[in-house]
Amino acid sequence: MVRSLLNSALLSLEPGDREELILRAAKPGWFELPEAFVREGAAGCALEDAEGRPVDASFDPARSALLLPGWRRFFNETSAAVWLEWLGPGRFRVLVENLPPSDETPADGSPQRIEFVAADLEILRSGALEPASSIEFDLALEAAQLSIQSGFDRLLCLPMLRDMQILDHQTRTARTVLRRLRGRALLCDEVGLGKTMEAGIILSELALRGLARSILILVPPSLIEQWQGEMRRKFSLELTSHDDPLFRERGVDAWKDVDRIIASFHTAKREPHRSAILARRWDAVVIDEAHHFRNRSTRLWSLGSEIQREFLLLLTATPVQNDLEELFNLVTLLEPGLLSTAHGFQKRFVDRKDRLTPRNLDELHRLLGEVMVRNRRSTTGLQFTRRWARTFCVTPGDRERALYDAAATLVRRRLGALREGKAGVARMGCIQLQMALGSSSHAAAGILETLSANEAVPEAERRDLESLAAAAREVTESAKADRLLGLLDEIEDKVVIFTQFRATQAMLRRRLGEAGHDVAVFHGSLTRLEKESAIRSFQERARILLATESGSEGRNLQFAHNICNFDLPWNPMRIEQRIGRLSRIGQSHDVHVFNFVASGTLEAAVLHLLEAKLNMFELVIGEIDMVLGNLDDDQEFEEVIADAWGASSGIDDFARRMEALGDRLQKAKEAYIRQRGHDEALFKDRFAPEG
Amino acid sequence: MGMRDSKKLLGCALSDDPPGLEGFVRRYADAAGGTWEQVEPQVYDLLLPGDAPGRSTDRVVRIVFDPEALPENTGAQLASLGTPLVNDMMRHARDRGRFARLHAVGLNESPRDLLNQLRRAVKVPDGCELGLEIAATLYFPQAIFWFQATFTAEQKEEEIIPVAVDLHHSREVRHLALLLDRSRLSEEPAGKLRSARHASLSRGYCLARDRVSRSLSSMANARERELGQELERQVARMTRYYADLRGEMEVSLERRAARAEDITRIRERLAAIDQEERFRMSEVRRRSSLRVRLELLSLLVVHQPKVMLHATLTSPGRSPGRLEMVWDPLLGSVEAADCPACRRPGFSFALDRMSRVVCPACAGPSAGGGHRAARP
Repeated sequence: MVRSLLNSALLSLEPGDREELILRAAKPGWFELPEAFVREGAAGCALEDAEGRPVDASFDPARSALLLPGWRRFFNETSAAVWLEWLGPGRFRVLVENLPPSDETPADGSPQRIEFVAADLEILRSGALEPASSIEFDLALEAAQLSIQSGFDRLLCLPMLRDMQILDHQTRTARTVLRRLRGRALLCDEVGLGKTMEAGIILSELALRGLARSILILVPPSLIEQWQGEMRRKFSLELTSHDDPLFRERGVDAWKDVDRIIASFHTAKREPHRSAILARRWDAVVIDEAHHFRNRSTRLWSLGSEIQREFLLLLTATPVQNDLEELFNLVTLLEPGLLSTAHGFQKRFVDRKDRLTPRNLDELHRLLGEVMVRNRRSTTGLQFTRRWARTFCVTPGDRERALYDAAATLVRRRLGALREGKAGVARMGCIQLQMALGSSSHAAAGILETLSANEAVPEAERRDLESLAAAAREVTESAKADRLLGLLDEIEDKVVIFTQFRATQAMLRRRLGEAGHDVAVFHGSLTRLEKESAIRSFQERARILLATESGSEGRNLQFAHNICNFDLPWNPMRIEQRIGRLSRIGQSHDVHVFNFVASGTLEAAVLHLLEAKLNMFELVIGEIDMVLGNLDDDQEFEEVIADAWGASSGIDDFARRMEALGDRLQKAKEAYIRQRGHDEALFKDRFAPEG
Repeated sequence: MGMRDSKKLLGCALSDDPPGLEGFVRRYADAAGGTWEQVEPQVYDLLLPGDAPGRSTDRVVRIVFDPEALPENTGAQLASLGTPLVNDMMRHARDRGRFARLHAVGLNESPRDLLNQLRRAVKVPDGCELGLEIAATLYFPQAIFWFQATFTAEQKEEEIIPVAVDLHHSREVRHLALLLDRSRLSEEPAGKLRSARHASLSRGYCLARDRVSRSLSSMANARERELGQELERQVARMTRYYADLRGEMEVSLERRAARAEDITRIRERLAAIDQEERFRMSEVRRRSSLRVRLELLSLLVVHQPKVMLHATLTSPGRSPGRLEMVWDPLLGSVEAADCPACRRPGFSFALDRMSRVVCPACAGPSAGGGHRAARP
């Protein structure tokens, strides 16, 4: 027969039964006990310690408690637990269990390699005094989970990335670089696969784990804003450009005070910046378009080899261009000695007759595998759409034409005069004015007014500028805008219209509004929420997004596939960046690019160069940069155009100069195509990231 | 059972909470006795009480989770992992919530037909009979320890490892998911029960630590092997590389010397190569040494009601022996009991020469014939 006692309070004590005495901060000396203990004790109690010596104590049945006045004797720094043990009717013993030693050898006898934390036992002791609530406990575990640095099998940063479609090959690349390559890698994905995103994931992960506090990014000048925008928007990484006014204010000291910096190659290799960069140890350095560092005898390469850093990423789609030694030079930046010495490399891995033909390819691949990751379009499984371009070369009205000719002539002469050191409107002002003329009379009016108010400009020139400004204000028509409106009637889908100038944007907004179009407007002066609202509006309701480039870096607009360049930056990279907002991974339609220029203008000549000679609008995204990289010009493309314009006697002469530049570009493109072929033969399908 | 699962079971996130850090900060502010107000998406005004970290007086702080919102919110602080404010909150939350006691509630403490359940679970020799004298519900403390293991070599990797120990049996609890089921845990007990005999938390900690150490040791061994192989390879390669470099320099030096040209620069270069080699070798060795650290993060004691079964084992012509078994309402089954002689847990028992109930191996030949589950 079973005597079931659901109320264990009635269960008789047996010798050896014991209850742990829990010290409460609120009532030291009072210990709550089960009824059975209190009942036994209240009936008459003799309490002794482990040595049999009597201990002063009393039981309080009303409070179900034991009062132990001399509790401090038992609760001290070495006690882990204090027990009240029942010995028999009315007899109890207080037992102290001491803390275990902190360097106890594990039971399996394995050699002690694990460092135990002595503070653990403090948690056992002090935690019991004031246990947390369940909410506090949950929060503590959550905090631990959020801040845990697991192995690189799990990327902690992924849930925090924003506004990007994270692709499988990108996360695999990041894991490979962090896990196997220890954060030092040559990322050689084919163009358009998102090397910047891969670098961003890696940097974000390192930053989140506290492994990269100081970060230096070195890029061609035209990529600074794009990198800043992408890193800020997608990875919450704020990069300070060396051009930033706050940075400039601090002077050279800024290099050691600011933790996350982006700078151009040109700046970084010049003093005093070079010394400042080399004086500091960087946690992570990223070099985009790293093929600029391919020549070991250049200042850039020597800068790259001397920078002190923990992690280094080199990004380039074409690590080898003219000579396999370029590959050696890049790899040596990452791991000096991996490919032996330069002489040793030549002897072992380069064909004597052809410096682009490798020998011992398997061994070379094996070594490269320690630093290199390369994703190919064909192996990522991604679908890429095409780009189709169409140019509208419109005939401006008489007043537009007259304004353009007069102002452009002023710019051309001024640029020529600057080469002779004559005072007047500065070079940047001239370039701005010329670009504004190519955009709209409204944009030109603003620039002309600003220039005419500049007291540094000679009086005569200011009068000319004022007169042109007045003329520009009178010109309200725009042949390009008329043509744009006509185009919009032909297209049913969403359209993104880019312009460089707010004044042009305002004019277009008015004209489009008058024509009954639903337009969302985007520019850099909008607040964060206004920008989000504009994009959302375009996504949901508005058919047209009217945007400047400023503030749109890093924005993904691939839900649209029509783009209008109402005006064109002179630098093809910036045009590419515009198109790249739509023509990118995730775009499911072919992208249509519509360009607007006025006939007989500088802009028309530049566009002709880019279209006819370079076929730039139909290149795969990212290839334009490869081609420009082969130009062997230290100047930015805009500067080349500006110089050509300044040296010309007129638009026809300029067009001839553009032909010559076009020939150079064509050769550069052919060189790029040859390089691509060499890369394919050299690397084949190896160096894919691990699964 | 991983960290994420046990966190989920403890019911961490409310359904309307944003995920990740933003949700944590909101919950932290509530738990710390402060308050928060969402000004716009990912921008908050936060009021933390004076004793919260980083606060000397009650003061409203504006925080943003999106760096693009910083320019529009002058004086706001960016809240992301690694920033001082967030680091302080996390540290405070971890310190505050390291230890908790909860009670398992809502369990079936009155199982049906205990005797037959016992007899089905326990094997006894032929001829013996298992009886049940007393069944009493007691609290059996289950201690769940969350340890953080840190492996530091070239990189740092951390892992959170939960281990649960039944302090009555002093052995590991495998059914952690059931034990941490939030719907069955309460800060208040359902009733007043006595505690079963149990080891101290310190003892439990040692057992748990020992369990974790065994796994960590094998992981550490594997990593050390990998690091050792990598170190060997790198040292061999660098030795070759610098030897080649020195060789080329020396050839160049000989040629110049033969032509009576100045060799100072080459000597300087050779010295630089030596220095570089020493530096890089020591750097590579430093990166290849592995340290493993184990630290207790949190401890939860769950007082779980179970039914203590005082059973007797009788055999004709022998004095009866006493056996204590435990019925676990979470699993709905009888737990293995430790043999008092060898301490091994099991479900087979017999009477030894002195009529003690022990496992068949300890009972020896006096155990009697073949074992069977006790007859219902």
